[in-house]
Amino acid sequence: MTESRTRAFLPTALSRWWIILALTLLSSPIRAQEPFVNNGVAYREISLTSLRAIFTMHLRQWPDGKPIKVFVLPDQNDVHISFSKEVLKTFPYQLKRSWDLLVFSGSGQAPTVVESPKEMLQKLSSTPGSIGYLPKDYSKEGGKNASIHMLEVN
Amino acid sequence: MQVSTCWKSTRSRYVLPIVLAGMVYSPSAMAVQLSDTVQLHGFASQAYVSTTANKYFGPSDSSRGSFDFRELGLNLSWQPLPYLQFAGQVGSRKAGTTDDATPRIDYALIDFTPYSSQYSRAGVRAGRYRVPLGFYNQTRDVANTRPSIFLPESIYYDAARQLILALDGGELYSEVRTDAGSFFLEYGMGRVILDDETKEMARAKTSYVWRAMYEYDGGRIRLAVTGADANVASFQPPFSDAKLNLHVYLFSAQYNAENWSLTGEYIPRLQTTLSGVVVPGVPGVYPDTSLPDIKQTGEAYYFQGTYRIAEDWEALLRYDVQYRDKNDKSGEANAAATGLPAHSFFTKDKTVGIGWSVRADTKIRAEWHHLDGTSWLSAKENPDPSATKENWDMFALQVSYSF
Repeated sequence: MTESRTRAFLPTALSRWWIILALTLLSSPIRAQEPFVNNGVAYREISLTSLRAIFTMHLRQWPDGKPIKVFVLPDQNDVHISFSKEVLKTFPYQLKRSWDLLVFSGSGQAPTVVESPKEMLQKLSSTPGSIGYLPKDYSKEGGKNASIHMLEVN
Repeated sequence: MQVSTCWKSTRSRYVLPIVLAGMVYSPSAMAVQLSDTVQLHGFASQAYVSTTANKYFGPSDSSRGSFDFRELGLNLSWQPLPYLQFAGQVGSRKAGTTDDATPRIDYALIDFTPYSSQYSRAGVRAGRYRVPLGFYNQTRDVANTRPSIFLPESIYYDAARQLILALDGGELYSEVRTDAGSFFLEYGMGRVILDDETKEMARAKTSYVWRAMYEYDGGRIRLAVTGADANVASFQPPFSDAKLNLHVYLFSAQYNAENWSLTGEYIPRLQTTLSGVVVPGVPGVYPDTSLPDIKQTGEAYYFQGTYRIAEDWEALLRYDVQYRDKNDKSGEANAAATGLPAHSFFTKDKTVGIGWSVRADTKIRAEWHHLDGTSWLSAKENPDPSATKENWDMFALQVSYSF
């Protein structure tokens, strides 16, 4: 009797812990930056692998064939640093290395550098096929009239 | 001779301030986007080199040191369609008496990517392109892309750079991206670009290169294997039919953390073969005599650690080794056979360095090399091997800029 109760209890307790653990892992981490695209881009979500390929300038077309236009903030900009680390899960110096290789071997081009989140918002709103990133709150406040939407990374 | 050296270093004295002034007043990175599809990029560097003995990139062993190492380049790329790019770069490199700053075409190519999907692509480059050898060869002349003022000479051997720099021909490339990492494969063939002096006695034959690379987690781990075969044929007697072949496999590995990176590259066998040397005979007296192939198998490797101390400061530690003959690491046997000093058959280079990013586009670096051996020194700069010193030290400073 006791034995069977113990047996019954153990999996239940374990499964509870599993649920909590799974919820913790699955709930999207609170990030300050998110990728945003021009509203002309039909997609709402993207894989990390593809997002990295876009920001390292290896993937140049959306799945529908339209050209991708990449905007970034300067290397030392805090928003750029945290987007690189938290969203792309790499480091600014790694992105820079990829771009330098393309640019100085003739096998690709560098992304277009904008000076501020404000300019990023303007460029993303006005450039078809464009992708960039913005602080989450910034895009909420300043982005009411902007024709951009967030990309969910999965 | 003395006069010309003096004049050169006096003139060189003005180069550094001019280059520095150019960097300060240069346009910001914003200026590179000429239009939606056209970009302009460039680079410049100026170094100062001082050695306790032996010449490296100029009269480095003089009391004044040498300012004779600088690099300049400008490139244009045009991407009219996402799968089509035209690109070209003009470069100039002054490196003591080994490179005279004559502008030349670094690359000029058409890059066409007929196949591209979310997770893969494949394409072709045709024209003059940079040889994908190891981690650094393609951008070896852009100081800002190097981990140090000088690349590890054991592998990126400057005295033989014309054999590994670029090819006139074509290259196929492909890339597959998965959640478990990305795979890159390149295969190229073409002719190496010989310098004017070499062109007077030899011509380039078809050379080959391939590189397989794996990158895990956005480049946290990078692994590569390169295979290369460089071929040159001589047409000058007594080497009228002689062929020089350089055959190499290079293994590369790198780990990248936020604040530090570890890099190692290894050439287990660097095989140089000179074949088809014929000693001409005298008609009716004795016939032409073919000499057996002359082969040399070298070995080279380095380990390197870089540490990003702060956002704009970086420290470097490196141990770099080259053996001309892996079966005679001390060089004694080769010395006995050739009469050359044993230390001209190996080099062990211990390097410490520090770099400061003045701005995102400008770096100032200083490094100290403690050296044992002279195998990778240029024979042009050090024509008398017996006059070289086995143990020597080198101090170098460099300002570099790229946009």
